[in-house]
Amino acid sequence: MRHCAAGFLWYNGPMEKKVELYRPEDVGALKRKHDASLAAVWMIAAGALAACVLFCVFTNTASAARMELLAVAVFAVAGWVVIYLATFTVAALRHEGEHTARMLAGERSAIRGRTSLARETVRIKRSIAVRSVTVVSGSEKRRLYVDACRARELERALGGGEKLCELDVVGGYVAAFVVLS
Amino acid sequence: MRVLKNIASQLHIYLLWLFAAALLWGWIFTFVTDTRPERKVTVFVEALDCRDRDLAVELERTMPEGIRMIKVHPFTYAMFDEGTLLGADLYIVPCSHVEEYRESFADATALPLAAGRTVGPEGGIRIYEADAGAGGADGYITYAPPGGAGEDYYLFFGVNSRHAAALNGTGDDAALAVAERLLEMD
Repeated sequence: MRHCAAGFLWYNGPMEKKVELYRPEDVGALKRKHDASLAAVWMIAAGALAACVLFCVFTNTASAARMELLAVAVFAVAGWVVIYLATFTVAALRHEGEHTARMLAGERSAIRGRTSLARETVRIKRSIAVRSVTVVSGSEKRRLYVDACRARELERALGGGEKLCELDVVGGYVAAFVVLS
Repeated sequence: MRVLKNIASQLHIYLLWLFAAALLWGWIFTFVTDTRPERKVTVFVEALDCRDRDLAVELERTMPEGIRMIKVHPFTYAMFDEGTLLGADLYIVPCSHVEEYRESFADATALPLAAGRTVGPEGGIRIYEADAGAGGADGYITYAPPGGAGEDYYLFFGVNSRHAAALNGTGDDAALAVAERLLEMD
């Protein structure tokens, strides 16, 4: 018989297979993705700078205005792309990797209850994007979070509604779940 | 949709970046498109209109020896930079404005270039004759309003020019060569 964090809700019926949201190999995969996107960002920045230097080298009296406009356009657009990628791709992958490592290393506790998943995704500043998970055990209602990138499996299992689940939790985040009914 | 939302959340950063890019490259190009005074001839034009870039390109086709660049500044540019105005090698100004810049001009009366040409106030060589409606470089410089007579324009040498050795004994005579081209240009 399993121990339950809520302490009073017991279930002895059939159980589905436990779904692990975090795997040890995810850390390496995320690191590789992060490094590749960081390299792409540096390549875009270096390419734009090289193009601007070329514009300077090939400038003469006739082409000066056009070259200046080109340099501004290339530098501005490349900068926008770099800012976007650095903020929303590279940083997101780094946060995702750090979060995954923390989740794999963290101590798990089990929570059982009627589980539902919020539709909205909320991005935590300087961290990952999350979706809120509500677990109701008797009169106790707990608010947990699930990584938005890994919420699809939980969403599919819940079928857009509410089901009795047992959740493995690390620091308020869902690490694994099993649907009980 | 998510991309647009992300962009909207950082719109102020993107606008700031665009502004910074324009400032940075504007500043860099002022150096890229300039050179030391000894290697350039500067022409200041105060006329109704001046295709400064086209005129500079045309003048650069036959650059005097030792010169790498010919800069043409219309009045709209020079009015923000007194140094350019006072340090130009050549000036093209209307007769009525000669008094404003008289301390910047060298008397060109004695130059061989002035021989056979009309020499006006302060020793300037006439470059545009209003009565005839024709003048040097009039394909690039608008001297008179459409249908109007306008006024005579004169070409002057800068008193501190490094390229008018025949007048002040320093540097070379590149400004004289450029002046000759301006006077004879269509």
